[in-house]
Amino acid sequence: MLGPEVLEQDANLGHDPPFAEFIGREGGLLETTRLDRSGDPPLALATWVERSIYGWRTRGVEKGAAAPGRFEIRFLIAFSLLAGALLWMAPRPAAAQGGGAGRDTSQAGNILDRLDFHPTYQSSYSVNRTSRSWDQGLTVNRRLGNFDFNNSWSLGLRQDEAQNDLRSKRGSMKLNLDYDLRDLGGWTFGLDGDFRRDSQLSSFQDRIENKSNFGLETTSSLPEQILHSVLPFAREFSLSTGASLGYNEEQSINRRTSRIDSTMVSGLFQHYDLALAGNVRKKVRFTSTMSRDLRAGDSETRQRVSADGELIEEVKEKTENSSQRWEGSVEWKPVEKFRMNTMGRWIHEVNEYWDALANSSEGGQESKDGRDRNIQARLEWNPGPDMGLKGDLTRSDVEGDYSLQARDFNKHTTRGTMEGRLKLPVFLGPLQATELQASYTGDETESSLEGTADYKQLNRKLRTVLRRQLGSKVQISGTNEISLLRYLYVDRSNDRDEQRFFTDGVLIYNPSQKFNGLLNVNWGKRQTVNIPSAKATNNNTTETYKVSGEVGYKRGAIAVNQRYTVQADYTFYDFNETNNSIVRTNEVMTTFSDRIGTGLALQVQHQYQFRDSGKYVELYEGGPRSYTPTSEETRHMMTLSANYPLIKQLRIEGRQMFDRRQNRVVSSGRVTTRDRGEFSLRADFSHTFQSGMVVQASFQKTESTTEKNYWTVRAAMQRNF
Amino acid sequence: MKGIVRFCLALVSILAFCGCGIFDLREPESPGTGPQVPFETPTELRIALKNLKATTEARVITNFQRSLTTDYKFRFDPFDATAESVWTLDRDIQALTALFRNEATVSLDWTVRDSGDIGDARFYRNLGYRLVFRQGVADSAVILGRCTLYFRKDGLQWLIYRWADVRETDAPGVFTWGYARLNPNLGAGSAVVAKEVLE
Repeated sequence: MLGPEVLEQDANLGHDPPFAEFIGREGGLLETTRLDRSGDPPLALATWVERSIYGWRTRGVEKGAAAPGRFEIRFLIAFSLLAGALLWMAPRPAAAQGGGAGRDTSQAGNILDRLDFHPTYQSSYSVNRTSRSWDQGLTVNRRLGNFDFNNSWSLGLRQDEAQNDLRSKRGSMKLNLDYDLRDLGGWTFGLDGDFRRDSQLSSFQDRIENKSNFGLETTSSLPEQILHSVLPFAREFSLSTGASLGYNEEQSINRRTSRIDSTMVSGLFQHYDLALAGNVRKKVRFTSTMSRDLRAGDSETRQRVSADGELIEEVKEKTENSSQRWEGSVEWKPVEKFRMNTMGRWIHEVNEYWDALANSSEGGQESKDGRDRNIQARLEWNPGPDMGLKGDLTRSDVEGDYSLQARDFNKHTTRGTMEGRLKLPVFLGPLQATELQASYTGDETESSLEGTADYKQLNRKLRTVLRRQLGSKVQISGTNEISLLRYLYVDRSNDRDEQRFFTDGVLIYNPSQKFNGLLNVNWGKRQTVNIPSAKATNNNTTETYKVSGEVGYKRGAIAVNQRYTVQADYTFYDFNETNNSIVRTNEVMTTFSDRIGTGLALQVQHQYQFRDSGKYVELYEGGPRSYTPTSEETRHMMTLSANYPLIKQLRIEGRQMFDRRQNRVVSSGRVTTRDRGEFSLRADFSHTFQSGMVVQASFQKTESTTEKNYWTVRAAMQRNF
Repeated sequence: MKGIVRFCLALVSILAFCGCGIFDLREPESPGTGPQVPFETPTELRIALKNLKATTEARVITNFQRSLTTDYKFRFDPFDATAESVWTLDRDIQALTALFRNEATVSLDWTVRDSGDIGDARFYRNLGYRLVFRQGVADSAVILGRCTLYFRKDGLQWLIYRWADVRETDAPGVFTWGYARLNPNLGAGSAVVAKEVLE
């Protein structure tokens, strides 16, 4: 999929690792078989559920290694069935007896209503130029008496031929069953389980990552009761603590043409947390959360060469991962118009894992020591509706040390922002009712990464906006911005500054309901200064001048709009006059739209653009500069679109575009013409069914003269059963 | 009266920021014999590629950064990605700056295969690149792969706002630009430096 939105989606791949089963390749070291548990009657139902969900299971993912995950699948399914049975047998909620807030299930029609069991299912499907993806999610939350049951599943499938035929499957499951002992000091006991499966297969490489956790957990508000009895003044404080103990298992397999690495880690985990929150005299509110996690276990790593499956290295080690975390905040609000917040965070993590040192012939047990400290202070002052002031100050330190890889890093950032707004008072004469907004941002970052040069980066920006309404027909606004970006390297080899100015003025004139007009004047300057002598020859300044105007007329359903733009970009080289250049553009865009009958909307748009560019150099040293165009481009683009709602829920749209560009080299007179045509037909569907199911979908087929025809499909549904 | 005082305070604060020189540029050193890297206003996509080639071959990061938007993102091939699968502008420029510090004769060649539009944005799809850092008679780092570059118009200029890197081959000793960003030091011991693998 090529859309930018998909890039964002892909960006999340690393943060939401998932489930997916690995499907081996013929002749490879990975072997996959269908599950066959027909001879295992007690688990026949579990097998059917498992097949339905996963379709495939991996057996002996890596020869010689125990097939992972079978135990937890059985455990989870058995656990789910047990939990379901418990809920089935549990007494009906108070609502059925007319005493609670739940729905009256005694008169309900279907079995889900009778059980007061209402899962939510979500599904979305998407197709674009080169990829398709399908995501599904199922959530079940059920409260019965003292039992609280929460279960969620997600499954995502994705294919992308543009990424070496990438096939990705990811999935996860979370299960939680809590029993609340209300009469015993607010204790809650429960079972927690979650697993994630992720597999990515491509033409050159495959990767599987599986994670599972199962444990017992407990939370208690008993410390709060003790606190209240010991310290009477702390009645408005809340204090809770929690702990969990369980078993975790992680598996990672990385297969390339030349070799395969697999790592299996299993062991016990512990988690403790303590949360304190409260108010002091209704003016101060504070929170504090501390937690500690510890995972200790055994790691088994194998490396093989794929040609003959020879085991080249086998490592067994003890592992220990730990993390300590603290987060807290304090808010002070002495009066309604003033507020001060402080937030802090401190995290220390030590992780051990096998690093195959991808693309290298060596690997080893990596140990990463990471520290993250962050503190932020905010101040807000709003003395009245016409004035306000807000300031932020943040300090952040992130550090990481690796024992194996040369990737130690640290980054220290200090950032401050100040924002103010003011509406000028009446007695300031012609300036009255002018709205003024100003903001200043400054930050300083010191960054070092092993193998690269340490550097400091400074960023400063000041922005002001003025807005004024003149009567009912005219509005003016102005924006000014100045910024500086500065890089300072330890060895000064890449020191540079970049300064930007930006000024923009807008006049909006709406004399009547039918006419509208706009005038926009814009000037910008960007100056780049390389400090070292060797790079100073590329120092340059670009100045941009732009004027645009727009007029529009509207009568009934007919609307006509025309926009004119004139722009020129001047580029000056401080030490290289011969590179100076100009690019100029004139553009006229005309839009006509109308509605025929009750539903058919038509739009015609034409864009004309003329652009020329060339050298802008001194006629003689120290003399005036002269512009000599070297190339010209003329462009016409016409777009027609028609949109019609077939029914309330279904709308179709047809769009035809034709684009012609002619480039002329001034010196030779040679003209190159490029034409592009595109036709697309699109249908949008949106409906909420009586059952509560929501469906939204759009389908588009695009035919183009410059690329392969393609479909774009986006469909999503949600159903609360 | 209070209003006037507040207004004056705000105005003075703004003027003070402008007037105290915090936005002043530093004076550059006298220009030496460094390479003059041509940079043409990228009014078309092909000019942006030409600029990237020129600035990469000259190992000058300034013009590379000039070709990118401020919200630019670099996405690694899924199998090159470490903990982060996407980098922001600052992180990418930091890595490229380190890569450009390697003393070598550099050549970059693009292979244009496909292009198209997404609304007002445009892209080169499966754009092949071959970047070679030649450090000696026999030692070269060959960086080979494909990418999809997404461009957005900023005034008259087409700037890159997304770079999606993809592996081209699994031949030993050949790495993507993403991998080279992660391992920018091409000195002795670097896995990227091979003995004329593709020459």
